[in-house]
Amino acid sequence: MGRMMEVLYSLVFPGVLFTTAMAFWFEYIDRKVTALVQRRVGPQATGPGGLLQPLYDFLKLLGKEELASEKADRVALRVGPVLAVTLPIYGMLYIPIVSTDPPLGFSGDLLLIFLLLAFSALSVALVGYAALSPYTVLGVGRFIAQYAMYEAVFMLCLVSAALQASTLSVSGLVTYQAARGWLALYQPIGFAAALLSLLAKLEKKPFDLPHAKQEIVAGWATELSGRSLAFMRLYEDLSMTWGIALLATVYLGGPLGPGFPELGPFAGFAWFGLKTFTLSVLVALISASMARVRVYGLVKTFWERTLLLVLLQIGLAWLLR
Amino acid sequence: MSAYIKALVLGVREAFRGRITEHLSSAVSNGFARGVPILESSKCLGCGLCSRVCPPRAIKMRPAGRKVVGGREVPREEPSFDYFRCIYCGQCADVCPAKAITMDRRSPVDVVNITAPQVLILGAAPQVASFLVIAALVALVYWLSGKLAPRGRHGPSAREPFSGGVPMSSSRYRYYAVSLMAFVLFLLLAEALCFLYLLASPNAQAFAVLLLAALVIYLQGLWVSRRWAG
Repeated sequence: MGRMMEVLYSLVFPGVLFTTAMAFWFEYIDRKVTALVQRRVGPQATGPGGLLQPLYDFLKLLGKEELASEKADRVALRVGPVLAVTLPIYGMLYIPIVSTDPPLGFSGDLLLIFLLLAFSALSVALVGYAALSPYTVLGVGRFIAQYAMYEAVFMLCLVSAALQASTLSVSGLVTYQAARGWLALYQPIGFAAALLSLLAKLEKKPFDLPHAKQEIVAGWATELSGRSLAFMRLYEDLSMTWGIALLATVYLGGPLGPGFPELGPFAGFAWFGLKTFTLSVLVALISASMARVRVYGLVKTFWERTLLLVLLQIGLAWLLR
Repeated sequence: MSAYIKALVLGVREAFRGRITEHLSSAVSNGFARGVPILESSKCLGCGLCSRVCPPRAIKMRPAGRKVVGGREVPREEPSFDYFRCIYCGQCADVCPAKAITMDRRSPVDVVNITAPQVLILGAAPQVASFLVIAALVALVYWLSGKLAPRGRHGPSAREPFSGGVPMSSSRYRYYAVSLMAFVLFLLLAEALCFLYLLASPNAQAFAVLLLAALVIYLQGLWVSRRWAG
């Protein structure tokens, strides 16, 4: 029975089916909000209000021929997209959605989440370096530089949250927030910094250097086509889903809200959905209305300013503990 | 010679005397097997004796809520049985001071209940098994779409990487990637170690170590970024 539940978790509820559905939903929100900001209409034709457009785009790319360049590293080109799509879906199994305990949670799962974040960056670098051309190399180089900048900030944000709750598990963070209220209220600096580094992680507008369209074609995705392109596009949506869910869990209490334990799992699901929806609209709004920074601007934003603020936040978290 | 014939006759006679082996389901009724260890969670004290006495080490103590001891809340642990590893000897039930573990007269087959997809991922931790299941499905979709996609005829230029007119030479495209990745890994490891140290012994000294490490990494990052710019 236990094994069957695990397979069910991995394939249906917080796993493959649910997470991909949510990823397409977030891509739809992103495209629609961006269109609204630019005074266009956005996806409209497929499904009610264009809701099925992201799914249709994914399937269309899956059905196209993949033209890999001759000198490409075949193994890296195959392993990279599969790994990139697997990691965020797997990461969703450590997010509590309908109860305060995530399906696969254990006592040190926050450290595992750090590891998964690092691996998911590695898989993108793998895909980019599989086919060398001037643009992919520039894209991966910028990607890793950006990763070096935001990962320190993001990790220290999570550390300060974990420090205040003095726990290393996601369920511990949620139970702490159930007793004391949202962590975003205690750590507004940490929340803002985490949101900023999430934008950089998702390569959204102020920080979309790794695939800057007007400068380096498509960055690390220049040589991709067919199913690999479909998978890497899906990776971006899944990564957005996972990142937003992580932020909603750590700072906004995940499934917590009025009526959560009493009215059962559906109330938790509704609160989680509302919080992630708000965050995704916020991310889409920011990315639609910002201009790209330069690489040195990246260093200035993250390393010279935000990191110092986050260190201050850690000190405050230590006092609030 | 006669000894060989005797042995042969004995063998044939034994072959027709019926079987000693019994069907697993009869283990419930014949009294040879003690049954299956079942935990009654409300009685368990969390002492861990069962996991220490278990011959094949099939019992792991898992965290299960909290309990109050002498007016203070402390974490409580509970045994969980790995029925694939268990030899059903019943020593855990004998040793349990609270009689929380009882040997239920059932066949082990009823408890473990193997089905086809489980055989593949048998015995793996749930975290590993879930990862493998997801990765297998994703890889299957990737492989299938590669098989189903149409294939056209292309000239040699279709498979050339897009270089925007710049002649290709792969040796010069490296862009600090390796040194940057090493820097990030060092940073993450150092921070994680300090953080673990802080959680293990939450005092001001450990916190000072964490802050100091973060500051050193900050200065090193500034130095790295200055080197780019220069």
